[in-house]
Amino acid sequence: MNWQLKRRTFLKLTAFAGVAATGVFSFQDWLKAEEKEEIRTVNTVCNCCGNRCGLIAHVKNGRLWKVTGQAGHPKNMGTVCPRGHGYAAGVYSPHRLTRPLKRVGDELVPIPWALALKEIGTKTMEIRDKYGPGAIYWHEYDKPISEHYGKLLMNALGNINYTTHYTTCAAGRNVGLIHAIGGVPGADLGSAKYVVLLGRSYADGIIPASMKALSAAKEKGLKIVCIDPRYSNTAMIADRWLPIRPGTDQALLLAWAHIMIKENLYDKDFIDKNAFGFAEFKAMVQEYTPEWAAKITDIPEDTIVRVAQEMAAARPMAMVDPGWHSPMGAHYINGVNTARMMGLINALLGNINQVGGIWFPQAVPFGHLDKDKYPQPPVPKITRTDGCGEPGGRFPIGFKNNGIQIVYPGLAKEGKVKAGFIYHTNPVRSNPDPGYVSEGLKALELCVVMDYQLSETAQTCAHYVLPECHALERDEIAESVNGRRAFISRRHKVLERMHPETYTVDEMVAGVAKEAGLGHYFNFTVEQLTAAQLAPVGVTIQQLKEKGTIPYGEPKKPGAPQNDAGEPNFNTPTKKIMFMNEKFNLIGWDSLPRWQPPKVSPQAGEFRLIHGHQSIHTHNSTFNLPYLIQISKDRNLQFLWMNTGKAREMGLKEGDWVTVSSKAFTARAQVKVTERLHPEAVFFPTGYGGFSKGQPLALGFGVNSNDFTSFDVCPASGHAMEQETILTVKKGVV
Amino acid sequence: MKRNVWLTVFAGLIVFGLVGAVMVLTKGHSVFGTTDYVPWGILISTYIFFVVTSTGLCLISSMGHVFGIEPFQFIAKRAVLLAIVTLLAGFAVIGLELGQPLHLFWILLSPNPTSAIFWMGAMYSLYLVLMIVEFYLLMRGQHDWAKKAGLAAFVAAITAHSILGSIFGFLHARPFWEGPYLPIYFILSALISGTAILIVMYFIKEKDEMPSAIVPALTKLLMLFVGISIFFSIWKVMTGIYGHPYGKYEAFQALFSGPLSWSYWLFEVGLGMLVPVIVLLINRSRAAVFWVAATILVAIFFMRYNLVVVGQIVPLEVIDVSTSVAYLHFYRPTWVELSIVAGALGFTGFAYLWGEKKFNLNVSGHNKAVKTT
Amino acid sequence: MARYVMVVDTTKCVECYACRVACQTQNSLPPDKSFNRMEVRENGSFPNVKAHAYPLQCQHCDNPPCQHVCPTHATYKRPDGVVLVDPKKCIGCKYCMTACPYQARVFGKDQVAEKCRLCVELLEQGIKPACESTCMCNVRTSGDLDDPKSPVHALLANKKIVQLRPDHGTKPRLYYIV
Repeated sequence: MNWQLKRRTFLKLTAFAGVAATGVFSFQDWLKAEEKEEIRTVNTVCNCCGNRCGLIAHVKNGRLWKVTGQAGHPKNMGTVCPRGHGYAAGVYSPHRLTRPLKRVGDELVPIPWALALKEIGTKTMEIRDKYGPGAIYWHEYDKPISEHYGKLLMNALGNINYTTHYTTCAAGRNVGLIHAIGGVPGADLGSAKYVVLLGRSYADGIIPASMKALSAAKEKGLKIVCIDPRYSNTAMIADRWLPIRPGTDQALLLAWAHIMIKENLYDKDFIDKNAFGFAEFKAMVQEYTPEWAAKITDIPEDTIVRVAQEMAAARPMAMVDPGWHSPMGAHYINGVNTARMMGLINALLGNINQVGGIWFPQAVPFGHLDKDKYPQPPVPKITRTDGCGEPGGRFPIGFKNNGIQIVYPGLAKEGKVKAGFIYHTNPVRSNPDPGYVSEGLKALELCVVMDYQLSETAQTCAHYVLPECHALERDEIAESVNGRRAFISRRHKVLERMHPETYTVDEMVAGVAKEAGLGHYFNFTVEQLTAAQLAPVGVTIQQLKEKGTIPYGEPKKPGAPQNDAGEPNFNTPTKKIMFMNEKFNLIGWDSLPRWQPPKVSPQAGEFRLIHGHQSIHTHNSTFNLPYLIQISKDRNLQFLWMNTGKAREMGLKEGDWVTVSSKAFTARAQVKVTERLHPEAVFFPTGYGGFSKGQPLALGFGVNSNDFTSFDVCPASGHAMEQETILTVKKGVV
Repeated sequence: MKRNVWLTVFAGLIVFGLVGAVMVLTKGHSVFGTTDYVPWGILISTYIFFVVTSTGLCLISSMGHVFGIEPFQFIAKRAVLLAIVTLLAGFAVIGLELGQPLHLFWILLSPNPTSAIFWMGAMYSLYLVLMIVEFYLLMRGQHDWAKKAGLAAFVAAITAHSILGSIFGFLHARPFWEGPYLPIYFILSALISGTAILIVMYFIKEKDEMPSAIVPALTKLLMLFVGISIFFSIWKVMTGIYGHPYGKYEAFQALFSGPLSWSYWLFEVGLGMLVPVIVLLINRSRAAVFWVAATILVAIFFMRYNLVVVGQIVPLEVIDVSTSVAYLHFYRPTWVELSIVAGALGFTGFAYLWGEKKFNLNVSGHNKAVKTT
Repeated sequence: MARYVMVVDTTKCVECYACRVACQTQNSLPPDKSFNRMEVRENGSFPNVKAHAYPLQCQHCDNPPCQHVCPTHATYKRPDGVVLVDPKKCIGCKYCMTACPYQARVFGKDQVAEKCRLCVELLEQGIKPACESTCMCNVRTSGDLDDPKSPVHALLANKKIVQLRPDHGTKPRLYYIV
């Protein structure tokens, strides 16, 4: 036998087999082999926006695979919006904060937790002793656990400066509603026959269950009217889109009240029983004719009349949706009065606490920690430093529980506050006028930012940046999902902490408190607190883990709020619906919601800045999440919208660069040329234009409307007046 | 001396190509400019360019020793060698273009007879084998058998190259490509490129001993083929824009005034069609003929690029064909793709020069040097 | 034997992209590869405007061009109608990508062609595909024509159904309500 030949043949066969093996045993086969491993699921709660939808996290081989929706959670009913998927996947982001940082000179350098907590705790007490407890505040995007711990810390320090982001969110709407109907209701979209969405787009600012209800009700004959300068994604399923001139929604509502009263279309019995100041209101709306409103709103007169008639014909299963942000929440000087009118129109429709109408929510009556075992600080007897809701304060009719976060940078600059704890919110990017915000926050002697990524606020102003672990990595307390029926939900830990040096908010706050000598108020665990909450409502932690979301009690029965004697019992000073409210005199406004034009209006050749949510993003926190920002990049979602007619006048086509200027700022951006926009508006999708170096995917991408708007504050609610901004647009890069 | 300079240049191009090859083999297609919308880019058009050159060499040179047309016998061996080398270069390019070339053995285990790519691969492989056999027989002086192999290669070449055209022609999803035109036109294109490259080869190699009857014959053939291609192209354009048919019309807009307009007007129409005909009608000097032939080869490279790219950059209309297209998909080759093109060109030059030295490519036996004055 | 189809009601779609990210996580895709995509069309002029969103994905055709052109039979159609790609046979020639009239395919990180798989592993367990279950507007309804209880029967009977580019003769298994 020729050995050389044999060897050659052997080598050839081996080579062939090797090549064959490479093809046959592919990566896919290996992956399939891996799939036979265990998949475990955990009920938890999403953390991307304020909905806190119930999710089921699926973990495969120790790694998060995907999330699906809990069927029984009232906010999402088994579905998951794009942000839920993108946010969960972000647990593996390489850009997460992994260690505490301290500002040394211009740099943020790592510092051990023990030292950071000690320095913060010590400094906090120094500030309190030197300047008083009112010189410290807590600012957050509100969530149950951080509300508990943040309030507890502030109370322990001796102040009531717990503050939420609301004045850049829904403060105007809340304050208007509270002073009109006594509370902030939800909408029973699923049973409604006629829904007017005033600037609200459930498809863009998604509440999955609300969009689901809207969509399902439409199949059963619901009529949807979108009032919005922009044809939002919700308008895709609407029966009418009324492109209202931005800032004039109040005029439309006044005209509707005029029509409904003049033509006797309103619920007279309800009003007779439950209204205060109706005669004065009726007199006021005399002059607010449809003809008058048509000129102001740019909506044809007969359309204004027809919608009012259709709406009234469907009552009480008709509503003006309570909305959220646009246009009442934080946009115009008339936002609060627009919200009042919205509440009052709903009252005229007689739909309060009615099927297909609006409902004051119930909450779960959670228990509390045993005061004997777990001492609580005394309720501080001091007013809010921001003067919100304080009778003699700067914002006497504001909503005291949420405060007015946008004024704190100014207060810091004036030396009235010295320490700020900023949790899961990003005022430097999400408030108008970043210059004002950062200048103010930099004037603080102690600025602590707690977040899971490097926000613009952390980068620019923080003395200490404390890294939070991802929502999938922690247990939290029980939470009440408020609505016509209340539900109990809870965030449960899905994964072990990827970065051991990240803390939960309770660990951070308890750590600071301990170093500040206030640890005795924090001698409980999250689990103990949860058990105390659940004790009176007959649910265990184990049950919550298994079921995810558990209903409490029964749905509220239909019927406007009344006491045992059958008298109206709205949460207002008169216990009735306030068609007139003298509280507004405290700020020099009329008791009646008279027409209030926007503070500024565009002249010829100018535009009004409007902004709004997109389905895939939230606030400015999702722009570094790869799955979500990629959609923006693939679909050019960062383009500014401009009306086709206006664009044609300027010789602009889709994707062209323009230079946009306000009094405060100039920047270049690309335009989307569309028929879906009122010609007076330029629409900014919110949240782009990130400038944090710790968020490279967001960095420098798109433009942010906040850069163009100067600091201003509504005297009624403290909201940020974000759309009282006039723009000019020029073709090209100037 | 000059040969060494060329060898160095070609070797340098090969090295550049190897760098690109390593990039794609380690990092995958993300180093290419291709996208999910334009998955076929310059490497596909370069592959076509190389095999059209190879096919053309086979077709034209076959007219020599296969069909016994005397003047063509002169260049036979060189043409066959270059045909083999260019085909190998094409295969190398496509090997790097495939996502999983190691899976190619599945073509043997589960071939799909409705796949034009399967048949193209099979026929070009057969063609390669036949050309190698023909070359071997020519070198051994076995001219009768070489003639038979050459005939078989000729048939394989026509089959393979029109099947290559049908890869595009069978796609009803792609209005610019679908139909019988490309399988037919590709053969014409092969004839053009084969004629052109033979003219170039004659000028480079046989400057001093030029059989003067050959070049005028080739030149006339070239003018005929280019003239036919102008006729084909006019009708392709006319039927593509008449009535603004969706997909075709936008593709021509992209060629006339869009991102491919420079490639279309300068190379495809200018250097590929109008300039050759106009120049050769006026002046058929040696210099004119040589330069026209050389630029036609370059023009064909761009023609194939235009064809491949424009067929994909017009977005597919899935919802409503009555809407007009507002944008085109974007494609630009990356340096990695260009390096592979360069490497293939370098390989062609280097391998041919090497083969020229190693083998005796001069005529002998029945291919007497036909010297005329 | 099942006969899978899917009905896509574009009149309900609001372009939220949940289906895109749900599919990406279900199939462990990177952010820049998606098995479904969205097109939005505007009609009319201000203020009489309508916009519609169209979610698009592999149509799982009964006469699939991608299957015809694949040189190695890597793309194949199952008896239940689902068209799949066997990655071990795919040579990455991308012919299926140019052949598909619906632009449904992507070139995956494993250097082979990939596309919507109709979540067959989930369907076989009676679970809805990821794009369907995540959707808050009930845009997609998958179903088995051989299951008399499937909701697709009612949709196909009672709604105005069209198919995408029927002129291509691909015989898609996705039915659209527009």
